[in-house]
Amino acid sequence: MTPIRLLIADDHPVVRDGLRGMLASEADFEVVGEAASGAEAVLLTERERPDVVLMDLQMPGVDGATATAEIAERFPDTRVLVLTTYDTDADILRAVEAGATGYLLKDAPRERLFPAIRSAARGETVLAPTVATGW
Amino acid sequence: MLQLQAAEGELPAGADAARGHLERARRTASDNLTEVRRLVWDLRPESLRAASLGEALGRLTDRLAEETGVAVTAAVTGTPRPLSPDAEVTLLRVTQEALANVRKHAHAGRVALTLSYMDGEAALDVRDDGVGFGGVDGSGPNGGLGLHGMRERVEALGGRLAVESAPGAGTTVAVTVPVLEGSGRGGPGDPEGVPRSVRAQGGAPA
Repeated sequence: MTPIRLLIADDHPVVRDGLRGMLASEADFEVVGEAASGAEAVLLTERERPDVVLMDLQMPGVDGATATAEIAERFPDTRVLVLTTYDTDADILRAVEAGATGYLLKDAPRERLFPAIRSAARGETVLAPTVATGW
Repeated sequence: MLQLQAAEGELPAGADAARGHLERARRTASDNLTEVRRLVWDLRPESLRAASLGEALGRLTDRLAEETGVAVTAAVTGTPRPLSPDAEVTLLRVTQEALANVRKHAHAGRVALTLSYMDGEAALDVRDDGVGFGGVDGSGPNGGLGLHGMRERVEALGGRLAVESAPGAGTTVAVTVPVLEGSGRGGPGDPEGVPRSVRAQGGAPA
């Protein structure tokens, strides 16, 4: 099986390390790059052509929603899955409008994160089930 | 939180005590984050949040009109108020799929989008006067493949998605999602008025 090629975009190294550590346990995931800003996410998407970009929204310079718009426009085969700390972030709607396939909260457990990444790779909409999990 | 999960994944089999500590640490961190989210939600100006969905839908229809020359109208009825983020994202995604179908298949001259805020639910209709298609359940050969994928997500939210179409008679996509009311907060911080102590039970070690 061809692994799903992933790019992690987050300005916090500890978050990138944590994600990389979690994703390493799955044979069908391959992390092909890490970006610390929206601008870097676009550059690395151009170079690596990942299947899915895990995109933080709050990043310095070019933010996640803006980077999502550029990636969706220039690299339509790459899916963007937003990973956000706050599900109240107005940028979630902006990122989905720009072409993100869905969003998850950063503290989503692996049982939710992994299937969500696989769904996103297939182009399916991913939602953080805030109601179902009973905030 | 991610680091805790990563650590949990690397524990050798049988390290149950360590696993228990990590699980409790993760749950504490998770509870704190939930509190912060609740505070942030409460601090948001409602009018700003309520307006953003309608504006996003308006931008989508404007773009369709500009790029295709189709006559598009978009209207919001009722009193806009914030929906859960999932509900808003779902309505936005359904609109994107419906308009993508119009672009690709409908050969429509007119499209009308209506977002209605009603008691207990919000409804979205996207209606076109195009060629339509045979299936009525959103799984027809020429339309609705993306919508088909949206249906289970809408239903998971407690809403409904219907696609009505017939050859030559245009297509209507109609979706409703529940609006979380009561308690005057209107946010996910208190979705059903269930006491937090009840909701927080998740099989955590005591």
